[in-house]
Amino acid sequence: MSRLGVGLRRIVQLIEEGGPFVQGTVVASGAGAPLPVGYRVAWRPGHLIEGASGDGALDSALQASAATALAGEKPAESCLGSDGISVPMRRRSHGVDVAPRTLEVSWLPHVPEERLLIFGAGHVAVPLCAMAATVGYAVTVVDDRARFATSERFPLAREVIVRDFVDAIQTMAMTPWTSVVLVTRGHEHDETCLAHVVTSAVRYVGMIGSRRRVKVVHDRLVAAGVASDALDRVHAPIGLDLGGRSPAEIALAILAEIVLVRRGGTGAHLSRGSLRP
Amino acid sequence: MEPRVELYREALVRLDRGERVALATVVSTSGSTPQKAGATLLVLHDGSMRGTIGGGCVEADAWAAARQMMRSGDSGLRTFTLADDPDEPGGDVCGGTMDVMFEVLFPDVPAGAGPA
Repeated sequence: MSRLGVGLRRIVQLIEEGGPFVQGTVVASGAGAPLPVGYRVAWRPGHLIEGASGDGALDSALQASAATALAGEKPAESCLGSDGISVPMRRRSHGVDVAPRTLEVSWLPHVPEERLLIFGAGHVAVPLCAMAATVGYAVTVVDDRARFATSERFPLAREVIVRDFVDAIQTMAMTPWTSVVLVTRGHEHDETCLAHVVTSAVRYVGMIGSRRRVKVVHDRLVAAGVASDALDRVHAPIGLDLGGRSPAEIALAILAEIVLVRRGGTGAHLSRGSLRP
Repeated sequence: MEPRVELYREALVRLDRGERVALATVVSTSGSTPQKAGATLLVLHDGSMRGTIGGGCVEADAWAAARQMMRSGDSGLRTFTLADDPDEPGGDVCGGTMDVMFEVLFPDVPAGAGPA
């Protein structure tokens, strides 16, 4: 660790590890502030801040700002007063100097790649894989039928796995940057997959099927001891109501729902019925 | 892989060669700007650039600022106002401001001092 905190080499290493982590750089430092301009820190959830100043109040304020920036998943800034308390940002374009003993920190979050796991390699999975890959998801397709789970059918998939569903699902990391779509050929497979995923940390899990079939699965899992509120997270019947009918339209409705959950949208029309902003 | 890490790797290679580099990172923007917060530009010892913080005039100004800071050795923040010039067809029509952090990085070992 140098005079300027965490070195660039360590930042590169943390990026290569895949995150999540956030890097912070002091971009302005008022007279008498404890850290110089260019000082760098890094924070991973569950760890102490790297490049800690040694001042407890400041370090916990840095850590809190880092956590907020990481949760926001986009670059952010914070302004910390001498006692570690957040103070309003100055308006730099107005030529105002940074206040004495005040630090301005710029945060750059690094979040893991968004992954989509599609269980079932049927007619909805094909367009879903192509669309999700285009939107930027690293897509994995799993099916136990070798003639369906092929890289010819899923040219944009990161990975196509021919394997028993339960065997496959047990080897996969279920993180907050993972979305899961259950579109297997039979509800018994959807149900066993769902039982493995539903209590995990995944961001999104959706299961295809009519309302009636979804209820059957729900009741069977509750009977098997799965908590009912865990099942409330499951998006089933899957997708937004776009009125679509073809497999590609259904895939679009599913992907739209995944994006909505990730980005926190409403799914409503942006327009108000006439050409008014 | 995000481009920023490529720039960082390039910076480390140059530092290992004993060269001084500057990283320019957009930390915040207001109004309409060609690049948003997080965009990164690496300015090398010989004045060449990698990455972008928006092209056009702002990048030329950022390059000049980086060159000046590489000489002085100071790191710090600069605010750029993007001219909204309606008389210039195809020119910047942004009109926003960008706060850019410049970090001048020095090699651990001076050039010619041999392996660390």
